[in-house]
Amino acid sequence: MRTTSAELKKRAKNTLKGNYGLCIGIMLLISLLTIVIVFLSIFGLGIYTVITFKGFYSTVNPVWQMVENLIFALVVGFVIVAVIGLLGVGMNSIYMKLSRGQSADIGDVLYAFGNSPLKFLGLLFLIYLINLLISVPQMVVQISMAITGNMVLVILYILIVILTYVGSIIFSYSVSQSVFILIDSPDKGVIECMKESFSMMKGHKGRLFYVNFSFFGMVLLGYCSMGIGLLWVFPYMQCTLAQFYLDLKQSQEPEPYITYEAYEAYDINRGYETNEPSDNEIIIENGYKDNNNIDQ
Amino acid sequence: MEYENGSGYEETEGTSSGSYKPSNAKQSNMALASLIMGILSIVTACCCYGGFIFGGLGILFALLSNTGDRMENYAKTGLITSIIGMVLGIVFLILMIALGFFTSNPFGGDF
Repeated sequence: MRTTSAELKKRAKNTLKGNYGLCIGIMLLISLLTIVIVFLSIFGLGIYTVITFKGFYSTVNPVWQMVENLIFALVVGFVIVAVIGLLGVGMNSIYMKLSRGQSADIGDVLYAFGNSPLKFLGLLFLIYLINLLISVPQMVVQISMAITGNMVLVILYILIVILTYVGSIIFSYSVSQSVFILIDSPDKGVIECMKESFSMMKGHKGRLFYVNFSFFGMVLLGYCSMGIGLLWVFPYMQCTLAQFYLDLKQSQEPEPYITYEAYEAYDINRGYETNEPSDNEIIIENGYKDNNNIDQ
Repeated sequence: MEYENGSGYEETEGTSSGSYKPSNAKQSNMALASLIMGILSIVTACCCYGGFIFGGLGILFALLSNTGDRMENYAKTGLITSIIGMVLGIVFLILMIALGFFTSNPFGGDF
């Protein structure tokens, strides 16, 4: 019995009740941090330019200056993406904690910095790289279209764009649970997490697509209010995705098995009646109660 | 995780004939916010996009506070007033554009 999207959203709303302050605060913190990093880097670039200024008519190679700027932009971009990625992992860990009924703190945002940050970075980088590889055919066709100007290539380009889009969506949905898996057990390897996410999402990608698609109305409301509403919509979306992962994980856990005490209570030689004091419920080892009343 | 009661009926102690009054059981903060946004959206419907902004927020808060089986009283009222505010906002927008065509200079300006 699959949990519907409406049920997942109801759970998310219940989880978030009273916790919006924490979630929105963390979102704003991450945005503020990004702005500060960008500002500082531009400031630093300005100072560097002033220091290395050689006069208006200097004969510095312009290509070298372009390369310098490019390297600077790449480094800053990498730092920003790394910081946002790791803080995003911390944010997801907060949503998972809240969804499990535990209390979360602002300090949990730094979860990824304490538990193998390189692994998280490697995972995010690998996902980005594979997405890039998927879009290589499209880039090739685009460049060749620009160079040759052949009209037949337009049809090929449209086909390739559609294929790339579908392929990247399928891939990103298959890999979407890998971050959650790594948060739950940070000792797993990166590729192992991705493989587990693949196997977890077999047959459930349509559900995830539907859940993502059904946020359209909420996002529209967020835009209606000039973006102020998005402050509430974004935690709601992320919490629903965390609930999706938890629900998926629980539904795919191995079957709970009955412990030895329960076998003792049900003695096949004595028939169905036993004199054990606690007959009505069999407590199974990992904490689930079996209400099917096997020995009645 | 706490579950907020929707609007419930309170029975007075000891009566079996069920005399009840619709009570305002504890309403969550979000439902209250939705109500306030709904009222603000109606009030500011004529100001620049006031109906949209507050109306959008009001509908959003009403939907987000809908955690149980029934919507709370405040949330329902907030939802209705926000929708009215958004509709009024659209009406005012159309009115402004339409009336503008009847002035001497429909696009604004002095001449």
